[in-house]
This record gives sequence, C-alpha cells and structure tokens, in this order.
Amino acid sequence: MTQQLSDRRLDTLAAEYVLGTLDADTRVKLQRLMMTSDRARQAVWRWERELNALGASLNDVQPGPVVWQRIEASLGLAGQARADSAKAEPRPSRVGSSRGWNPFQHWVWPAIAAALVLVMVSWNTWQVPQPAPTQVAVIQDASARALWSVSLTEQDLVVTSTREVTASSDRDYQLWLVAADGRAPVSLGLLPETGQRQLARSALFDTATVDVLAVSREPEGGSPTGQPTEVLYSAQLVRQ
Amino acid sequence: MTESDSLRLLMRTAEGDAQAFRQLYDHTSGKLFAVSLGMMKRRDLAEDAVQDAFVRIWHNAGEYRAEKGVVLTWMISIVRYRCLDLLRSAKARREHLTDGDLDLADEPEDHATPEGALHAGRDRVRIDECLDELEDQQRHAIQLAYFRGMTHQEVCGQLDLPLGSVKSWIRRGLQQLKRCLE
Repeated sequence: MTQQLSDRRLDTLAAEYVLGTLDADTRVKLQRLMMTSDRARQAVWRWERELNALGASLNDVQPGPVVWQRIEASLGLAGQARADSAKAEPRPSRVGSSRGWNPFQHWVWPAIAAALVLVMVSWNTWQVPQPAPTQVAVIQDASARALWSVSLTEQDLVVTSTREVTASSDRDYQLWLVAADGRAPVSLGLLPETGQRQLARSALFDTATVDVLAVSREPEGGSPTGQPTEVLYSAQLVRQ
Repeated sequence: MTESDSLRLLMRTAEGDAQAFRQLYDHTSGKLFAVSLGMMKRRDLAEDAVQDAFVRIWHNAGEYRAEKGVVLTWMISIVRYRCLDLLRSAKARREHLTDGDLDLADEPEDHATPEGALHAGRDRVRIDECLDELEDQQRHAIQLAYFRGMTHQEVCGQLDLPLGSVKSWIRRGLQQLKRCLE
C-alpha cells in the first residue's frame, strides 16, 4: 500500500475498515498507513463519524449493574465518584493532572501535531536494513492510534515504539503471546517506551498457533505474577 | 444530554474525575450495550465488550478529537472495534479447536432476534436516507456487517449470494453511500 492509492480506493478501504469487513492483512496495512498519512486517518475518521451514527440511532438497552461494578473495580475508582462530587467545573487544561497512572496523561493537545511529524521521522528510521520480517503486527489504542509495531523475523522479535507511547518511570508495558490452544499467555518481554528493542523469538512462534499478541500494563519491571495484570491492547500477526 | 454536556463530561473524565465518568457511563452505556449486543448476541459477551470499552474510554478520554464525530459516535467506534476484535479472535480460536472443545461462539444466543428487528428498533438518521437509495441487497449486506459484525463469508451465508458478489455489493454500496453523504 503506497501513497499512490487513489482517493477513491483509500476511501473504500477506510469504509471497510470501519465496517469491519477488511481482511487481516489489508487491515494491518491500512493501520500502518494511518501512522504516517493524515489523508488515511481523515478517511477513517470520516467513516467512523458517518457509520457510527447508525449505532447511535439504536434504542438503548441497559447492561446489568455488574458492568459498572467491574469497570469501577478494574480502574480502582470505587468510592471515588462520591468523593469527587464537590468538583463541579472542569479544569482548563489536562496538564498536571494528578492521576498518576494514565499512560496518556502527559499528552498535551498542542504536542499532537508535532508528534505526528515525529512519527514520520521515526518511520524513516525503520527503513534501515534489518532481517526481513516474516510477520508483522501493529498495536493500536482504542482510537486506532499506532503505539508499537512488532516485526517477527527468523531470528528475533523487533518492537518499535511510536511517539504516541508516553514514557513513564512507574510502570511498564509488557508483550504477551496468546496461543490459540487456550494455554495461559506467555510473556515475550517488556515493550520499549521510546525507540526500538529486540526481544528473543519465543520457540512458541514455531510450535503453537498464535491467536493474538497482547499488551498489558504492569508495575515497573513487569508482571509480578507471571500473568498479565491489565490487558490494554491486542493485535494479530499477519504474514508479510 | 446535549453534545456540550457530553464533551464537558469527557473532558472531566480525561482529568481523572470519576464522578463525571460515572455520569458519562449512565448516559451512554445503554447505547454502547445495544451496539455490542447486536454484534456479540449474548448478554455476557456484550457486557464484557462494554466493560473493556469503558476502561479504554477512561484511559483515552484525552484522545478524543471532534473530527472523529460527536462524543457518542467516538465511544461507539471504541466498543465496535472491541467487539470486532473479540469476534475475530473467537473465530480464529474456532478454526483451531478440536472435537470436544468448548466453543463460546457455538453456544446458543440469548435472543434469537428476528432478522431486521435490531435495526428496526431505532431512530432514522441522516445516513439512512442514503442507505435507502441503495439496492435492497446492498443495504442489507452493509447493515449485517455493521449491526452484526458479520464477515463477508457470513453475509454471503445469510443472503445466499456468492462471496465475490457480496464483496462487490458492499464495496459499491459504500462508494455510493459516500457520494450521497457528500
């Protein structure tokens, strides 16, 4: 997929991406293109806006109360909603937010345009010759913003962070292999918060069928239990 | 709730205000669950997807951009992508299962929803006028993919059409939608 994609072709791909009918291979290619192309991002966002108006038109169906309880528990918010009730007005800026563990809290709005440029710069540095990857995955956040690119080669696993990853000293992101056979996730190592890192190629890549790669948020140094603490993202490996 | 109310709640959520997040949840979870239930078909799986979506919304509230739509459509994007992920990994798992393995995807659905009932129970929006201009099968294929999270293969099973036709129906339907929406 290149920048030479016609507007019409790109737009159709974006529409199918949002609809959910793109095959895995094309989906990853489009995700990669979105990392560097504002045109691609705008096309996807436009379709998100249009198509998801359909979802917004559905009549409400209330989930069970357990859903909020589980959200509250997993985010550690229990009781906080009441304690915060005195706070009526939004603060003017997100800078200096006191919430200590949101990976995105250091995001400052004006930095985003600059970051997009930096992504393009780091994209170019990826073009340095490396063993040809046999499979690749792009790990994205919920807004389809690419955070890491993962390349599996014959020798190792190369993970490259984008500028969208916010570095922090009090927690780490850990990469896991989730096999299709239902075994417990297997750690592949900690993800870099800047630049690139080579991880050992797990033998499981050759002996098991990989379902997805998953990323969890962990205390500094990685999971204390050997299992993911809080899974944030997942991505499928696709053959090049 | 007006859009500026939603935006205010989202901004406060981005600042870590749990009460605002709770209000946002109260106002939007019914919609996100309706979307999720249509795709996952079982309440428990649909609730899991909504839970995951709201955890992401809490973490990523500051990532919202007006270009991605109003706050609610942005939140629906998040829950839909999550449902699509869950459906894809369930399907991938199913391909690797051996006899006797328990497959969630094969368990009975909570509601045997009559065809069309889900997207009949809703308000008409701007894009519906454009969908109305499509041929019936085109519109139906796009609706099955959107509301049910169906793949090309599943749509062709449902509509009893060859795979190639379904792919081009959907593609041409989307192109026509785009022209209508502009």
